[in-house]
Amino acid sequence: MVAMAYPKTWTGSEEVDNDLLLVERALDGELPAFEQLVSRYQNRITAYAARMLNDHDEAEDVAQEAFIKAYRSLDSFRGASSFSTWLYRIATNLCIDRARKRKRSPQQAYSLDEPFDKDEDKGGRDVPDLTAEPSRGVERDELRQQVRLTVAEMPDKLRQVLVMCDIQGMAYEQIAQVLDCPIGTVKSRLFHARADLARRLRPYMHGVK
Amino acid sequence: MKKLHTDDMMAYVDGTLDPTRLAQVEAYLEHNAEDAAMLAEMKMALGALHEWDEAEPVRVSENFWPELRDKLPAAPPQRSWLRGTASQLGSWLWPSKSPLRLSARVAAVAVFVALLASFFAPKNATRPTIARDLTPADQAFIQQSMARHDAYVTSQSLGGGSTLLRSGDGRDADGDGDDSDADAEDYIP
Repeated sequence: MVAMAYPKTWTGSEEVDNDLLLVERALDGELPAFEQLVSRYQNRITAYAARMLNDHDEAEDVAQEAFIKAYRSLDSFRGASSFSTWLYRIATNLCIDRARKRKRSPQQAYSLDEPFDKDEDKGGRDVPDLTAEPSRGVERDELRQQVRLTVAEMPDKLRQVLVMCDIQGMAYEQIAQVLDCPIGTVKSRLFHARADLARRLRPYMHGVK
Repeated sequence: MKKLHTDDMMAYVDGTLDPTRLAQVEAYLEHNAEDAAMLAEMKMALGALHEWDEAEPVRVSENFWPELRDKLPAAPPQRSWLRGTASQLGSWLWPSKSPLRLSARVAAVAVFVALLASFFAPKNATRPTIARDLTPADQAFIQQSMARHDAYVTSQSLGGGSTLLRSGDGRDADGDGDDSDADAEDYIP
């Protein structure tokens, strides 16, 4: 069979159509077709998982697991939604599973008052100070750290929509399909996520453009 | 102006309001400092979010695919016989690179469907068809009813009435108002 040439970028329905074509070819046993699907979505899925789990290594594991599940269940993909939507749903479920496992086996607890390194006794743990005087001016690194912390501590349902919409640039409709909920629910969660982010970053925003 | 709807707030932050609505929202915000401050903070927070994402981009490692390939099952994913048949039929009908071949196939299918339709069509399919053993009174009643029905359907079609009465309108077959086909759901593994 003659391999088809694919342009480097795809947009809209053309991308969806070609995903379907690649799925069909993968079902015919063409591994390179599946490799193209992986290549197309590996960064997006890994980035999504990384923002959801706040752990890059675990995110790669989740992304790999998502692709393996997709490969094994490729025949059940009927094209009712786009391949990317289907993949995001798989990845979302995996992230939820990982989060549950974390809760069941929590990491070692520590006191914020306790020194970080007992042997060296270098002092207290470095925690972002939400009550810091804004007029001092806040370093951008500290702001980024606070953004990371806020996103990581957000409830799963709010984080999902924030990451998909405001980081990954997905449309409300696609997010609604991924999460299998009405668009109104997506908008409502996103509003609360943005409001939460703004509230938590407020002490750090003054003096930052 | 009454309190802003969440949709308007979101669209304002997203920058997707049309000029007319944007002017209305901005006029509202001029007189509602609390909402104006909240939306300004939201915009700044989203700016910080984007800056963080750009400063700490996530990219997969170079051996992502080799590692994944080793974990994939040796056998290719199984294709159900139904999908296989549909795929073969589809590949016969649609992927042709030659427009002429495609046209010929479409024409062949059209001829086949026409032959099939003529084979199964009733010999005397012209309306009105009324059983011969009915009494003249019954026949008259049925004819009258059919005429009334035709008139009703015609009036509905012209007047924009219920689409369900329009012949040939196959939309929303499952009757749930969303034109969806419940059987076409993708299974999430």
